[in-house]
Amino acid sequence: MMRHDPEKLAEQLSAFLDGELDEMERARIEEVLRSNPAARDKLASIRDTVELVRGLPRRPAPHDLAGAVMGTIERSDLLGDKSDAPIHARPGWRTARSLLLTAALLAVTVTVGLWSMRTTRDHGEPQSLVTGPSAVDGSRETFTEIATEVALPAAPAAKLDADAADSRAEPIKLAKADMPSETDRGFAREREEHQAFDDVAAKIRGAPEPATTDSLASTRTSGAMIIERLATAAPTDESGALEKKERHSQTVIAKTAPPIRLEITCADADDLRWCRTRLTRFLADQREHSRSPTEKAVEELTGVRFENNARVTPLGDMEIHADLTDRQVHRLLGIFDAAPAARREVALSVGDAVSAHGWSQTQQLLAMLPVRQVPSQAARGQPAIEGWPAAQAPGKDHNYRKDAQVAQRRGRGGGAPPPGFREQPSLGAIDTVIPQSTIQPTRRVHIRLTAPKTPTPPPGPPGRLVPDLTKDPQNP
Amino acid sequence: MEAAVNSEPTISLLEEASLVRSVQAGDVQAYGQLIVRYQDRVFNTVWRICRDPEDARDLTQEAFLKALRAIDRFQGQSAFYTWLFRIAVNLALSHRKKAKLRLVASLNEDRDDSGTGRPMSAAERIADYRTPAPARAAELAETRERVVAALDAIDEQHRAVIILRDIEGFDYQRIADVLEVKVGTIKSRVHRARAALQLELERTGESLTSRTDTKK
Repeated sequence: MMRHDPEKLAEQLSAFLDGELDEMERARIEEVLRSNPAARDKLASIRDTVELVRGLPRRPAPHDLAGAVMGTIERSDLLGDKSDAPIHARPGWRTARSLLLTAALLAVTVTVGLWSMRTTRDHGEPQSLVTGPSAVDGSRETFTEIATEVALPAAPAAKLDADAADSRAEPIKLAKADMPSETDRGFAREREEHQAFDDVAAKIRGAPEPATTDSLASTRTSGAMIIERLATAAPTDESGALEKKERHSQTVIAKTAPPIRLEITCADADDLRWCRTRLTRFLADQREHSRSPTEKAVEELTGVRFENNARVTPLGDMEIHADLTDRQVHRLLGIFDAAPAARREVALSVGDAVSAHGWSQTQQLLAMLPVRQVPSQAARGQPAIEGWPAAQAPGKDHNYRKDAQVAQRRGRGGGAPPPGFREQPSLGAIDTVIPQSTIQPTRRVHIRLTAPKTPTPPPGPPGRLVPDLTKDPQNP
Repeated sequence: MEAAVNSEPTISLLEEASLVRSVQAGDVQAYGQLIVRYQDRVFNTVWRICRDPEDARDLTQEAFLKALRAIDRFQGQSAFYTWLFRIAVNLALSHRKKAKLRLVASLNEDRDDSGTGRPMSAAERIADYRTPAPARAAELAETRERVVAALDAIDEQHRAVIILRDIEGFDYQRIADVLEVKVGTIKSRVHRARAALQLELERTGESLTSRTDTKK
């Protein structure tokens, strides 16, 4: 009787089951199986294991995966992203890309005029941008053709509740963190941005060559800054140049609303990942449903996202800031609160005025923030929060920034904050003033997700602003 | 979440080669067709390796993008499908190595998924199968959970081999191409992987020969 190495035999049996033996080996194994009951049992057990694995359910890919991949490809290709070579290196694509870049830069110049049309539903195709002045005659068709091929990534299936209608009607605006301590820096930045914009315009007029990737990056950055700046349209600066532009714009929104800082300490790494996913999706949903078609088109063409910065540390912590309405903040908290982990903690602060800890206090504080304020309400002097200073109807040229600074210096407050909240010195005006517009105001919301690496520490002090961070996604 | 995901590629090799040539010539839309055809299988494999649906989605996306970036270097010596799988499996294995996660499903785990893609508890997965709850269906579901747990517990390399062989139905040559090893290595690796899985199943009480259900 042949002696068999059990390990070798088992390996052969496995391969026999898979039909991977040659003719000679198969014949030998068949002979072994005829004469060796143990070998037959072993084969049966291997077969059972295989059957168990084959019986596992299969999971299809997410329905929007293909769209997301194609969207990424097309977007990076239009921008000439070298990390996605070699498609964009091909001559046909290069020509198209240069034409698109030129048209995209011109789109920036017409955005000011188009921005005033934001409240009206612009259902025009991206071709509408082409109807503006084009420095490249004959390129219009190519641009249109390519522009129509740009596919927005499929929007994630969002569960819209009754509030979604509000968020759809109100585009999210970017705002600079406009605290008094940054005012001087802010003015300097604005001047630089205007200079950068002028440089770009000069380049468009004078330069026959298409932009290189590097200059495109800087152009995109400066274009993004300009678009952001015009969108937020902060009150007067020293030069007065912005104020002039703002007078022509119908969408001046004051940014006196103190920022919100939200810190969520997740239960553990898995909870952190869950919160991060939900937060990212929430912000993507809000952005997707709030953007006007024009904004979307400009984003697609320029690659500039009118969005927020997110940073994920190697440990998986996430810091992100977004401009959200108070209603959106409510909803975001609701998401985290709806599926709570036992050890997930939250801390919320509004400016450096009040802070709350724990879900209950946080919800109470949020409930007191103005959800909506319209000029008529402001004109009637109704207080946003009971006991806090009432909103005041502004004049056309009202300097809101100065208002906030004065309020801050004088420590104007309408009374003690609600019981249970920690009071901070220099209470500022917490209500938001909306001039000439019924658009729901946004405020800067800084969100920080962390997970304890050691036994849960107490939450940190509120009020410290997170600086703008470069998007740097990393695996946990 | 059972779905009809085919175990064989749904396009012929000729058609696949034609699409790949189109992509290499600059036709991005042709690549979209390839994505649609293979995304389910790639995703399922990546998901089985890394176990997290969100990570699997990201990795699958990255695999397709990586494949596109390298499409010019694809010379057709193997099927595109094999080549794509190689990229995807390598990404998944690297990801697992970095994360050093060993998810072991526990029937007692109590987490709220809320449809976000967080790993579901065994109880939720059982409920999610949406079968009427006769005793047999529950028994089968519980068995599946134990198999999933055992699969999660074994080494990633072994898991990859079992997934490619027993779920995706690759032959040894194709598995060798995907994992870039020799066929002889695959033969022994398949055997060792199955042995490890068997050991894990026996350890958790899943009897293979008698299929006796073990109550906790």
